[in-house]
Amino acid sequence: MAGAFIPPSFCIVPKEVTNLSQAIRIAKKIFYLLITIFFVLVFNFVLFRLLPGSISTKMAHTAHANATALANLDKYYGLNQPMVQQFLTYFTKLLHLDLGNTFASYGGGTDVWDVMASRIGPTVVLLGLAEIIAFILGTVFGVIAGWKRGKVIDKTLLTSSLTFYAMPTFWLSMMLILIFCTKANLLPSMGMYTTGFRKEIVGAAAYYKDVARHLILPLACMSLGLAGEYTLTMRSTMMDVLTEDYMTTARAKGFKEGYVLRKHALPNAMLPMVTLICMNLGFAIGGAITLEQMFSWPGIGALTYTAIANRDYTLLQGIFLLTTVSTIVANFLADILYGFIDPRIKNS
Amino acid sequence: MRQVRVNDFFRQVRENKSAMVGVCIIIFFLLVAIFGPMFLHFDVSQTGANIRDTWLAPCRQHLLGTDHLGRDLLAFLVTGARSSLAVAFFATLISMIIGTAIGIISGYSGGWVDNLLMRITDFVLCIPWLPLCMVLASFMGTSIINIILVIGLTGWAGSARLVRAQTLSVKEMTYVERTVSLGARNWHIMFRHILPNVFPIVFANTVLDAAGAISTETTLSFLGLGDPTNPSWGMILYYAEANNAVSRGAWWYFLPAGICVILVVLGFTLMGYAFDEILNPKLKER
Amino acid sequence: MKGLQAMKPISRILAFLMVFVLLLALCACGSAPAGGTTTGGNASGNDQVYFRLGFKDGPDSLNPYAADVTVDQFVLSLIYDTLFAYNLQTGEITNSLCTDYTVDKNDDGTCTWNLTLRSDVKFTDGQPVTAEDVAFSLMSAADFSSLYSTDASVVDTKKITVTDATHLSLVADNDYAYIKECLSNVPIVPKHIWNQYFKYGDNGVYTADEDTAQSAKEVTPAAENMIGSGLYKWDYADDTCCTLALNKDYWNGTSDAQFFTLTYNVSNMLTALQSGEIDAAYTANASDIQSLSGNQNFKYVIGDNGDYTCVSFNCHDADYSKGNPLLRVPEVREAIDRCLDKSYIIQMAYGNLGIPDEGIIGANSPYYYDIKNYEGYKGNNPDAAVALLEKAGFTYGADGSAYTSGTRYNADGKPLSFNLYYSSDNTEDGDAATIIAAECSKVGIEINAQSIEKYTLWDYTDSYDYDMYMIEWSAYNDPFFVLNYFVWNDGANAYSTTVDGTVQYPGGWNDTGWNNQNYDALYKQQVVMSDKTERYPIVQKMIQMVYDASPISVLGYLGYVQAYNSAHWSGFTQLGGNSQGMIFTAPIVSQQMRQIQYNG
Repeated sequence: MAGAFIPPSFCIVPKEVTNLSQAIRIAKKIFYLLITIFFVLVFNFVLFRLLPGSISTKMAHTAHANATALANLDKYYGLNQPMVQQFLTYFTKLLHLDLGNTFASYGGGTDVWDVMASRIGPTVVLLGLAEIIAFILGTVFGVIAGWKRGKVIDKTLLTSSLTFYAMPTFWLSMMLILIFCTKANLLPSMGMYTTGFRKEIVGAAAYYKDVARHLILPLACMSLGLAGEYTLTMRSTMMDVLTEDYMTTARAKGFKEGYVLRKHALPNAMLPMVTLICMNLGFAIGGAITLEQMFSWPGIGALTYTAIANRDYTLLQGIFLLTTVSTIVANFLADILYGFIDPRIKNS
Repeated sequence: MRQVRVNDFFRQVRENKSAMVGVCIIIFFLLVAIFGPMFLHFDVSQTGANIRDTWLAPCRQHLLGTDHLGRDLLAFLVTGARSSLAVAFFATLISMIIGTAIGIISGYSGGWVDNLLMRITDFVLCIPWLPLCMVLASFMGTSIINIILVIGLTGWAGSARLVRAQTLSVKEMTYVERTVSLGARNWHIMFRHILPNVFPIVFANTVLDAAGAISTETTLSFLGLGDPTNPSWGMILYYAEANNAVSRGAWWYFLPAGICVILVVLGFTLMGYAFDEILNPKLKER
Repeated sequence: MKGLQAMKPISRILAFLMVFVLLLALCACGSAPAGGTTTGGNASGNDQVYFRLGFKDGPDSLNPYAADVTVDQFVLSLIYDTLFAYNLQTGEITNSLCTDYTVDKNDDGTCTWNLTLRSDVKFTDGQPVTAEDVAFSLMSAADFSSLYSTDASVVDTKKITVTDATHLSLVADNDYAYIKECLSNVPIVPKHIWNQYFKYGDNGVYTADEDTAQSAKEVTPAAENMIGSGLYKWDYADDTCCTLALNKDYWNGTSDAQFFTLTYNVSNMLTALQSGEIDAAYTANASDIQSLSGNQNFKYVIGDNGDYTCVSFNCHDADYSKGNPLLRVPEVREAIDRCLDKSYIIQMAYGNLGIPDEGIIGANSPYYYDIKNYEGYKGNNPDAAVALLEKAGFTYGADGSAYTSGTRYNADGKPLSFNLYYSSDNTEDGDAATIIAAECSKVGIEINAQSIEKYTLWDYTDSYDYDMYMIEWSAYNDPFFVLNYFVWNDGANAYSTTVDGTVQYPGGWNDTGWNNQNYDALYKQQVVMSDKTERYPIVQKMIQMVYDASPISVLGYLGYVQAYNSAHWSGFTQLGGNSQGMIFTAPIVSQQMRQIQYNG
């Protein structure tokens, strides 16, 4: 999935190292963090309420509910209260760590937290495995391409990674489904497991084998796209690293190619890769929505899609909150750690 | 001085093989988009005469086959080039302008202005963009202008960061003294001195943003948020999926459109990487 | 890449790991999916006979008070009984829980329905189904159920009298012809499980506080609260499917399928059928028909549910109506109707799954009237459309001179240019809109087809802020529902403005704004007639009136492809015993399951 992005400011090292003590620095960062989270809350809230139609509009038109039922519905969800009032209720509940109840009910019940938690598993499995596979492929191919720069193997790898990087994930899934499901009927095309195949009935081994079969295609789609991107990054940083002085020194000292590669080039080249993976986390949710739709994979992307269709405000607020807060917090923690670990800042 | 630099730039582009490949691809598609519709046999709105004309595989009459309504897919593809490229161009323009402006102002001003703008940028970066686009498109409606706005208004954050970083380093390099009192002086400095120095890297980044814009537009159209009266390649994929082209085995419906998207994104990416190599001072030594 | 400096140290890896761990922790504290233990005898799933029905969408909520969409309705109609039910062979509504009823007309115009119930029916927890449960179900549905409130309020739920365990009386405003059908939709839920939320008093009003009452909607459906007296009982549900187990003590028969599974979100019915993941498809695509007919293991029917698709015109003549006023000219509407080749539209846009019929009542109804027999019937005639437009004065071109090509203008310089909205999630309507635009442009009418998001579209149509829009209407068996669509004021469901001119927005379904007092009078007349010979001529007249005035342009009646695996299952009956009936709808799925045989 192509996209231009730069990590948030928490990650960029301030050029001038301040004279303030570390504690004040951290406190300032926490303050900004809280402000950002508050903006996210307000934005979340307003955005979904701006959407035309609400749960009662839906019930009026699809279920033909009568006036009493609709009025009762509005009254209960507080939808007939002024906006500010609704926000205060939401905010107070949030302070008690209560994300509220969803409007429709999903497999996990109606509590927003429970519903999200029941869907996170499949997404994490898919994304996690895809990232790992892509990381491995990216590292291996990127190193080879960077090391053998200019040769045929480099050109081939470069072209194919660029192609996969440019390919829309859902198009790749359409092609794979066409080949493996429609024409060859080798692999299942939807869902996480065959219906009726529950652990209690068929036993854990058969169940996991079934899930694995269903995992193959979505995993392939997701990891190929990511692998393309990682190969490119790895290749480019390898090229950077290989021209560094210490590399020339190591070679001059007579160390073998493989040793030089492992001990010097690789560790330094690895660092930007890890940045990329971290940043991909937030943006991968976008890729996961289309992918989960295509394969009916019951993860959080599919949940987002359904929630938008259902106008399920509370659930949407919960999902957005989760993804933005986790991205923000991860960056923040990394930034703090950076302050502790990086010797340049410590010794100032 | 500037003229020499521009000539130098073009020379370097011509020497860079991957850049040339990218440029050729983009020029090809631009020509197709602008002149293509004049050479079509069928109009894209011409539905088939009856149901036997639908779902035809590529044949002599219809080089790329027909869709579920009997419309010629080659016509669809060529007309789609216009929408896809137009969206990419204008959306990228919007995000470039906003991003550059915010980046320069933020980097140059420093202090609370910098802080505020960067908080807002963080905020935009942290929100998952696809659900946000879906929500915005839901109530803004699905005209092509809205799609351009949605993509443009959500995609500037990366540019802003980059421009700010560049501004900070340019600021160090210039000898200009900052005048606190006269606001006019500041704008003058920002546009006459900082912008030209920042511009090369902005340009390279913009080309890469264009690649991202095409991808985003394709994804949004695929999810049904595109403008049906201005069908783009993403819409072709949307119709293909909505009418189960995959299970019918109608590969001609979605294969060409996907290939076009890949080629255009590839073209912009190659150009962008090459421009970055040429224009980014830090990468020059490689 | 783009000038990525060698940035991050080990902290980046740590950050990633932290987020990963955070997400894993969330999985761990997620609650188990709703649903209890597996029931039904032997452990291995292979011995039990499953019937899997695939749906394109998923459920909204299986809670009887929050339920909304088709999938929900299916589950509820399998778990619960109703007072009346359909006879598959004849298509008529016959007695079910109610064994007998009498109707007494009262002096004030209302009528009392006296029902006698079966005495031998039990809920799956052993409690008997009594008149109290029936009364409770009607009262709570009318006040709180999204799906059944309209049906339950066909009687006055504050005036239900329970005489004993098997007798109760209901009071309705009038002897409406549709009372029995509406009552046949309301599921009978156990009072002893659900009344804790409402606490209905003797006066038929609930006495629990607001929050408690509404919390009934939030109850997670599970084995302990989804207790019914129907053919199946609750077994298991998660995000991908819902499984119900056969109720072996069901009073009205049994089924070969020990388990009924509703499979959600099947994006590809054909593939799922062929691979054996489902045994039947609730709606397959038109494009699947070819593959299905070529395969002897599968059979399909194309069922007609009385649903028609039409273009609705905004012809409301009021200040607040924001539609193009040219649509208030009847000749313009008629011209649009005439220039459409409806069989072509059905063929191309709806996959040839439909009957291009132009009356508002469908062929599967006993009140069907073939509009082609009407002497005022005009049919598809673009030349006649042009003649109509010329007669209405649209003989000018854009520059004011005589019309030659393009869009027609009238003497005031107003062009025939309209918006045609359709819901963005309905691609068939979108295709139809494309074709309609092309055909109208041939007679000089410019149509801008626009895809609008569903909720926004409802907002527009509710407030008369549109020119034309595509809509499908579904039907009850009794024609009252489709006829009611064009009523302006029947005293109960109507759009109206208040006396001092302040606008009152929608109360009924009429979003065309067409109103005709004669039509309203005829409606009031026929809605209380149950004798078909008396009622039919009035209904016929009403169909003709709507055809003449063209507040809508009916494109045709939609067919639904329902397929099943005939190698394993046989004995399906289409509703009404004819070749156009559905085999799967919520009101008949229970009867169908009792009828089909498993061939192994």
